[in-house]
Amino acid sequence: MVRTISILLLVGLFTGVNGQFANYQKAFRAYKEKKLDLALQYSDSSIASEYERKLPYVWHLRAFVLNEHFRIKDQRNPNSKFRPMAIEAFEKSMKLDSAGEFLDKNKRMILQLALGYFNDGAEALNDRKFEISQGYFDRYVELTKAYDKIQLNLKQNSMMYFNVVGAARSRVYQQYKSRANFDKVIEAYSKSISLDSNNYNANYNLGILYYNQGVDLILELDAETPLEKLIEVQDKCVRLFSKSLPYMKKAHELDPRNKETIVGLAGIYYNMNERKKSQFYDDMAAELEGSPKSTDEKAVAEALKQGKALESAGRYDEALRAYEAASSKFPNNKEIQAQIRKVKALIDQKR
Amino acid sequence: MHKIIVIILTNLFAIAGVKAQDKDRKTRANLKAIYVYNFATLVDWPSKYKTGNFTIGVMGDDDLYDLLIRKYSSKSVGSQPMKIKKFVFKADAERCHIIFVGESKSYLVPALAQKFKAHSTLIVSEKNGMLESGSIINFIVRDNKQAYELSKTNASRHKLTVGKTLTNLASNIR
Repeated sequence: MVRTISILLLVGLFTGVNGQFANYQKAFRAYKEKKLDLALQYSDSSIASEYERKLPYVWHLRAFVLNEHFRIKDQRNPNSKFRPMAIEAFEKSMKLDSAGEFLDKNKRMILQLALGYFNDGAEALNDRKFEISQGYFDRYVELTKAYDKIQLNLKQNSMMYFNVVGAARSRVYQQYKSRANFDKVIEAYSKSISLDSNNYNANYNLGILYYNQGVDLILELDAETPLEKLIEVQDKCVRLFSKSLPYMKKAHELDPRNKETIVGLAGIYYNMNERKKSQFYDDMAAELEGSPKSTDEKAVAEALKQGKALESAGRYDEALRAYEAASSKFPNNKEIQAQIRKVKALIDQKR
Repeated sequence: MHKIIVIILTNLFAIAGVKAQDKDRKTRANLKAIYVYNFATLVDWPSKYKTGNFTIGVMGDDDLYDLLIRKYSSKSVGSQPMKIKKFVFKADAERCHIIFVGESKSYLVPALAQKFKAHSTLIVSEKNGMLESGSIINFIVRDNKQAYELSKTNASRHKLTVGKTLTNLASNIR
């Protein structure tokens, strides 16, 4: 910016009367010397001048002065009055700049300030200031759409923003479980998915949100819940698990080796009483960890433990039935088959 | 632009807090426990069973046993304090008001029905076909939900009177 203005001064674009420097020239000198208050005073005088306020570079310079006030004096305080004033000045400069001398620089600066709004929107979410955050984000979108023809990052940034809103809203929902908070989380992730349906985070989180709500409904049931109510709650839970399923499936499709979604799918099917499907995903999760099928392994160990306890108590018939029951579930387990042969031999000996 | 990425990623990492947890696998036990408690209140036992503790025995389902101990052992059925017991073998199974037989132990249902034939023990199972093996209430899955079927014949064999609500809400009555 300094270089641009210097050139203008050199070519004599000043309008001093009787050899005096114009206000904007004084403003520029003060700006260069980092005397920001003084620069702003001259800039104020400059735009009060009937002649100077029609010059695009007067507003261009003013925008830089205001931007420095925002950046240095107010230390990028999101509430600083100087940021919107700077944007307004850049816009005014563009409006007056029919030759387009400052166009690129003005646009670039506005877009830089727009990104600042985006950052402030994201940071406001840390303090759960959702309305304020949305306001900053809207301003970012508005400025980007107006001044960035390509809008290369707009979609990606918007999607990320709504994912972060969803995460922040989720934390609020976990703390204060209300319907309104739940709906806000859904709204945020849905907006994210509407921007890109192949969005892992939003799909996974929507899936887990519906799923966890179903699980919570069951776990929070009163111990003495009457049967009618129990059936009603189960209906509601099945609806929630059914809503969760397509999102979790999509997340799994997008990242097939992510254990979180595999565990999520196993959990959804478990709670929908679809055991084979639940087992399928449990096994997949176990394989992903490089371990054997953990659930099966536990069940086999338990069956063997029971059978062996019966054997030691001399209850061979019961032990045989226990092993056979286990064998019907795990027909390829060699240890169970060996135990069956052993117990059968013991029964024969006893006879 | 650099700052944006940093902020967004910081926030995204926080999402990891929301995920499926082990607790999810306790849901079935929770539902079964509530059902069992309802069975206790909606079935009528002969008068000689209405004194002392109300005993519930559990075989083959540690999650259900743990949950009943945790949530129900201080409750009562009428004036009878609830007592929860765990049985591993058929021979251990003592006379009780309700005996729940988990799927892994369902092969014991016929033997238990025989063992308790002279007693008013409500045998609750969770495997298809168990009503034919002597169970009185059998958990089944209907439309992705935990439901139950009921054998009134088996109930009357054990001199148990099943209440209207329990009958009306059963998925299947034999």
